[in-house]
Amino acid sequence: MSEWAIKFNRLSKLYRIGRSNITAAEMLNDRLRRMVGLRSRRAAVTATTTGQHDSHLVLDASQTADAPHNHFWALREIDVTINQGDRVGIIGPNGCGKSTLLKILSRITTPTTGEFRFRGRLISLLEIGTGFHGDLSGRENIFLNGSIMGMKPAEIRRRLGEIIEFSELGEMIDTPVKRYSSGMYVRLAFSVAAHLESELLIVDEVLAVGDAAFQRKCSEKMLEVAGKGRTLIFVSHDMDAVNRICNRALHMAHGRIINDSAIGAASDHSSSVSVSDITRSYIRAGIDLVHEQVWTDPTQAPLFNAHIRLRAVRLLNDLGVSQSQYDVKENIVIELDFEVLEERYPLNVHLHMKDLSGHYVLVTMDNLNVHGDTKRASGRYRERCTITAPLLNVGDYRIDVEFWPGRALENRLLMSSVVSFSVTDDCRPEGVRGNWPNQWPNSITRPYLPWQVDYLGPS
Amino acid sequence: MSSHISRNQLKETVVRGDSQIDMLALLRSIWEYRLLLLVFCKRDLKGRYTQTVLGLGWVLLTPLITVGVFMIVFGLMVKVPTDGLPTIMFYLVAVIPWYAFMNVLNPSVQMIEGNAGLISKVYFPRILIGGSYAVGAAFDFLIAYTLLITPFAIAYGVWTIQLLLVMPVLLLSTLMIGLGVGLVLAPINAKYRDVKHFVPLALQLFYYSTPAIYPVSAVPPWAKPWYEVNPLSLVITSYREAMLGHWPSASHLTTLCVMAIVCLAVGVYVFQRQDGRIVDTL
Repeated sequence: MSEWAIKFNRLSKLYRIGRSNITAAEMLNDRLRRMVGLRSRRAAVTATTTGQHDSHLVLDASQTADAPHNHFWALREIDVTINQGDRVGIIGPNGCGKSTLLKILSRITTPTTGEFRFRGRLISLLEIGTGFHGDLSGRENIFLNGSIMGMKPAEIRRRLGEIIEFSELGEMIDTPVKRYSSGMYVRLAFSVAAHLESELLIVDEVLAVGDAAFQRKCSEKMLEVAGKGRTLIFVSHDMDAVNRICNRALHMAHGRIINDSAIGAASDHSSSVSVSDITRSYIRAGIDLVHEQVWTDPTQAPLFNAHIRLRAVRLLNDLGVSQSQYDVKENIVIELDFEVLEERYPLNVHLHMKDLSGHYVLVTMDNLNVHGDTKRASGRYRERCTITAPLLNVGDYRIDVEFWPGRALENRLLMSSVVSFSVTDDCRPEGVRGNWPNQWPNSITRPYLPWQVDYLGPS
Repeated sequence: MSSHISRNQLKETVVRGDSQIDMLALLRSIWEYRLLLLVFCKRDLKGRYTQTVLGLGWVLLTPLITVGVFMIVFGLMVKVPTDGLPTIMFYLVAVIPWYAFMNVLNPSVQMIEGNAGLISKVYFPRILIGGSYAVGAAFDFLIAYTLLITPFAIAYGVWTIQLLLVMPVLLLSTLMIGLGVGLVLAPINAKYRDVKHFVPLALQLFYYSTPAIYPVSAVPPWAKPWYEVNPLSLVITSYREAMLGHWPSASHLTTLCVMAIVCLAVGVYVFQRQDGRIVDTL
């Protein structure tokens, strides 16, 4: 067990709801209305908004219940220890407290109650252009920024070449930063933060502004930085980046940490929670898996181009039972019932499989069994496609159905996310994993591939 | 707000929600960030004079033009008495210290609002921004003192050793008072922007109640007590007295120093109390 780097101890932060300042005129107006017996407009609005209940609201009742009037808990009893060298990804919906946590950690604002401690120097990169001065050149801003972060000029001077090189700003470095594009801003800000000597680095979804090549470079840099024993805290909505960079994930919601890969691992050794489990459950939050859709009433059924009526889409296991949970070793049968109302097109069915982040996993089509130019006779059809195990890795998948009417390309008929399912793994030994007892790495597929192992005699 | 324990070679920092102001920790963190003070000064200086043709020339030009106007209006037209001093010297030693006071007070009041981009994104002892304004004002003052007050005093034959020796004390107390008031008003201005509308008015009033364009000797007796406690009045009068070869009276000097220390102490206290919460009110 390595040394701790950051320790939060029952940290909470209280914020105000609504406007903090009202003008004297508004206050007077309010008082007068109350005296006359009219309810103030503001109070009426609050009453209606608290009346409705929705789990997708930014604030939930627990955040306001025991808070003073007009306040809410942006953070509630955060209790986390982060070890040196950890690469922690913090994920969660907007308004769940991620940025507040980072702000407190960066000491920009103080917690309302509780405390936190950290060891070593801390550099944070919150939003773009951390403390740049528009009139100063990029080079001068490196010194300004570095000094703000507590570095000595000699230290900055030593790293200057590296910083400028990494930022790829070239001759622009001597131009005032007010002339920079937002991407250039981020390049400079990230370069400064990543190259200065600190034990803790905090990065708050700033990288989204950089171009693809620079984003890749940054995530490599973050991995490298963490490899040198620096602790990294990274907030992002890019789950791929979190999966790639982080070795620990914290899922926040409504000011609390609701899921922590490290705690999952400690409490339950048999099925440890990985970073990708957390990012996956976060993406799935609020989405229900649909294992079948059946339209019994033909008038309600989706009608494509006025001549194909989809009647049912089901996900079945080998026994013909419709379900949404499959083991990695189980076959998945996708069954489609549809009606062709009119003999018009040489109709083919295509299935697109994507994971919940929208990455294409595969596309499969019934073309292989159908002649290209023969028109589909009218009538009812049932088509089945089997995804033979082992193929998919653990994860959540959804299936889009497409009817492809031959060469008339402009008429592609697509229905997205018709059915969805998740694949789980009980980690029991079988063909693909052999005697590997742990979690399968976070790949999209885990097919069974033939291996040939030959003993070529003693060396 | 924080304390440091050396352990494991790494400095450990503790931040608590309910902590008291720790002056020792504040001084230590100011010392740690001492280089930032200079960087801020440089930044302000560069920021102030970029995209100007005259650049630093404005440091001299601003008081010169003001003094010129005063000489025409009050010297030639209204004929305000100058207690036997050359008109130009009478106004120079009033205008230049006044500008030093304004140059620290005005930006300090708006330091949180004006540096919101910086304050809301990165931690450092924010009081340093105010400190950098004080250093910047001192820099401007010293240039004007060296290149305007001293040569003119020599040319008009009113240069005395007193004029040189009282300057550091007077400058320091001017800046401390300006900074102290600014530090009190800055957090208030962050929340209630009314302050920045009110301050210029208050300053204008204060300006007229300060003997900048008239001598204290022209003040009616019932108003005299105010001129004994108005710090800028004490500063300006002391410069004028110095040119006549008089040392400032001990009571004036004591009043001034006590006010300076109290102002700055109150300013730092109020500012630090609000420091942790400032960002939330922006």
